[in-house]
Amino acid sequence: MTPEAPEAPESETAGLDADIRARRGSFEVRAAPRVRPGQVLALLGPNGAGKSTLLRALGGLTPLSAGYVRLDGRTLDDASTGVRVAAAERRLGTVFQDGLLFPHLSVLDNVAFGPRHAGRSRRAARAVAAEWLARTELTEFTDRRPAALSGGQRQRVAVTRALASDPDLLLLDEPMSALDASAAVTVRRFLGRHLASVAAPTVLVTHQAIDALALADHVLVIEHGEVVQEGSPTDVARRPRSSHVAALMGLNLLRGRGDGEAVRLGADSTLVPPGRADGDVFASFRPSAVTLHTERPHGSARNVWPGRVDGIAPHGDVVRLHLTGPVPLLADVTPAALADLEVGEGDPVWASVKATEIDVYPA
Amino acid sequence: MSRTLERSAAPTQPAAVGRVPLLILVPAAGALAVLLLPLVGLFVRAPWSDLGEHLTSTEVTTALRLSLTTATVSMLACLVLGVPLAWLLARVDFRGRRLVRALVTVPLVLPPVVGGIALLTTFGRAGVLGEPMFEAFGWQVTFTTTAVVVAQTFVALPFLVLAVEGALRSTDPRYDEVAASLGASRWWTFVRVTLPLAGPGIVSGAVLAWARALGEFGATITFAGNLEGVSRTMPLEVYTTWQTDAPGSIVVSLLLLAVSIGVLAALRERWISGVSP
Repeated sequence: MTPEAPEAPESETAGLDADIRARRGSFEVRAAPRVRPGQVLALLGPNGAGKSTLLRALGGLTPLSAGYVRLDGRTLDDASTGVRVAAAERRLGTVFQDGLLFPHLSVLDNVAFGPRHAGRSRRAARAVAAEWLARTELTEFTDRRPAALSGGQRQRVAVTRALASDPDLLLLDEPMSALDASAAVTVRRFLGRHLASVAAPTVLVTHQAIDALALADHVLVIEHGEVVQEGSPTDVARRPRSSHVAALMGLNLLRGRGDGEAVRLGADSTLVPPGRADGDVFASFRPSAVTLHTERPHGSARNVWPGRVDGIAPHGDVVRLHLTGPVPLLADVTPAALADLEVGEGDPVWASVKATEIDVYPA
Repeated sequence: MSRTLERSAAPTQPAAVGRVPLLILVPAAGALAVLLLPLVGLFVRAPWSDLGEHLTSTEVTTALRLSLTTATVSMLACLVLGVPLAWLLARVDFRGRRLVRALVTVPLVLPPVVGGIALLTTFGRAGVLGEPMFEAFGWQVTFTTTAVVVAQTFVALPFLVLAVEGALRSTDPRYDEVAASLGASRWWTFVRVTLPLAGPGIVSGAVLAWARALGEFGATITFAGNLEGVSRTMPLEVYTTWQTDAPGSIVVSLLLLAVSIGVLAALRERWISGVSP
C-alpha cells in the first residue's frame, strides 16, 4: 500500500469531498461534488457544459485552477498548496464514453490490467480478472479481442475493468452515449446491478436524464460550467430549474413573478397557479396537460394563451407540437385529436392548461 | 498499350472523368524509365556464368557479413535511442520541441560525406572530443567497425525517429490516460500500452533504418575508412572492386539490389497491413 498522510476520523471524511474550479476552453467550470461511499452522484447537463472537465479534474487528468479534491480524507489535489497526486496513484476506476479497451489485449488481460498494476503477479492478476468476469457474467468473452465485441459488450467489459482495479473512486464518463438505444438499455441495467455493490463513491457524467434517474442517488445539473440545480433525481425530474433539464424531462417550464393570485409571465401574459404564489417562481407542467383549440375557449379558472404552431413531430404514440408566442409551449395531442383540430405548421391556436396540472415552486 | 492502361485504371477511376491525359501519361512513363533503365545495364552486363564464383569469394562474403552485422547493430542502436526520443517528441510538450524536431531531420538532408567529415572533426583522433578521448584512453574510434556503426546510426536515426513519432502520434493518447487511471505508471504505460499500439510503425521505422544503414557509403568511407574486414561494407566493396574487377562489382551490386528489394517488399506489406485496420 502507498503511504498516506495521517487521516482525520473516517466517519467524517469518508468518500469524495471536492471543490473544483477548472478551465475548459474559454470558460471556467465550478462545482463542489461530495459523494459518500457507495453513493452515485450524477453530473447532468448538455454537451459542452463542462461535466467531463470536472470528471477529468477528479481523475487527475486536468489541473485545478482553484480548489481541492479529497478522497477518504486523503488530499489528491489542492491548488493552494500545489499538491497534485498523479492519476496513476489515485486508485481510480474510470469508464470512458467509448470504452477504450486496449485493442492489443484480450478481454481477460484488459480486466487484469488494473490488478496487475496494483502489484499483483501476472497470474494473480488474471485470476482476479477471471473472478470479476464471472461476477459480471462476461466469462464467455474472456479470450476475445475488443474488436470482436459489440459496443454494448465492450462497455460492459470496460465497467468490469474499472471495478476490478478495486477503486477508491469510480468515474463514469458518458458510459452509454456512444451506444445504440438497445445496447444503452442493457448497459444501464448492467450498471444498475453492479453499482449497487460498489463500496466506493461513484461519479457519473451524462447528458441523458434517464441515466441520472435510473442510477444516481444525487444529481448536480451543470450548464455553462455552473451548477444550476442540485437534488435527488426525482426532485430534479419533477421540479426542473432550467429549460435544459425541463426539456430533458419532457416538461414545460415557465418562469414568472407571483403576486398571490396570479403569476406574471411576461408583459401581458399571466398564469393562474393551483394555490398562492409569491415572488419569483417556476411553473412546470407536462405537455400532455396542454389542450389545443382553434378558437379562444371559454371558462374561468383556466390558463389560456394564444400561440402559433412552429413544429409537429411524432413523439411515442402521441404527436408533439411546438408552439411559439408570448408563452412558448410543448403540447402533446393524440393523432386523432390533431386531425380533428385541422391545424398545420404556421397556424394560430389557443392553448389551455388547468391550474391543477401545474406545479409552482420558488425560483 | 493504351487499352491495358485504361483497363487497369478502371477500378479507381470512373469512366465519367475521362481518359488519362497524355501530358500526365508521358512524363509518368519517363519517370519509370529513369528509375528502371539503369538497372537494365546491371542485369545485362552481369557475369551470369560465373556468378557463384564471385558471390563466394572471400572479399564478398566478408563484406556481406560485415554489412549485415553493422546494419543490424545500427538498427538496434537506432531503436534503443530513437524510440524514446520519438516518444518525447510525440507525447511531451516541452520547450523547444519544434527546434529539436528540426534538428533531428538535419542528418536527413545532409550529404553523407559531410556527415562523415563532421564525425571525423568531432570523434577523429584530432577531433574536438576524439583528441582528449585518445589522450585519456589511448583509443580512437576512427577506422574501426565501431566507426561504421556510428556512421550508419548517424544517417539512419532520423528515419527511425520520424517514422516512430508519426506512429505514436496516430495512436489515441487517451489509451495512455486509461492506463494511468488504472494505476499504471508512465513507464509501464509506455511499455505495455504505447509501444504495442505503435508496434507496426516501429517495425517499419526499424526496417527503413536498417535499409538506410545497409546502403550507407559516404559517411562510412570518410569516418571509418575502407579496410577489408573492418570497415569495407558492401557499398564500399562495390566501389573498391569497380576499379579492378568490374564484373565482380556488378555481382555485389546485384546482391545489394536483391537485399533492398526484399526489404522493400517486407515494408510494403507492413504499409498495406497498416492502412487497413
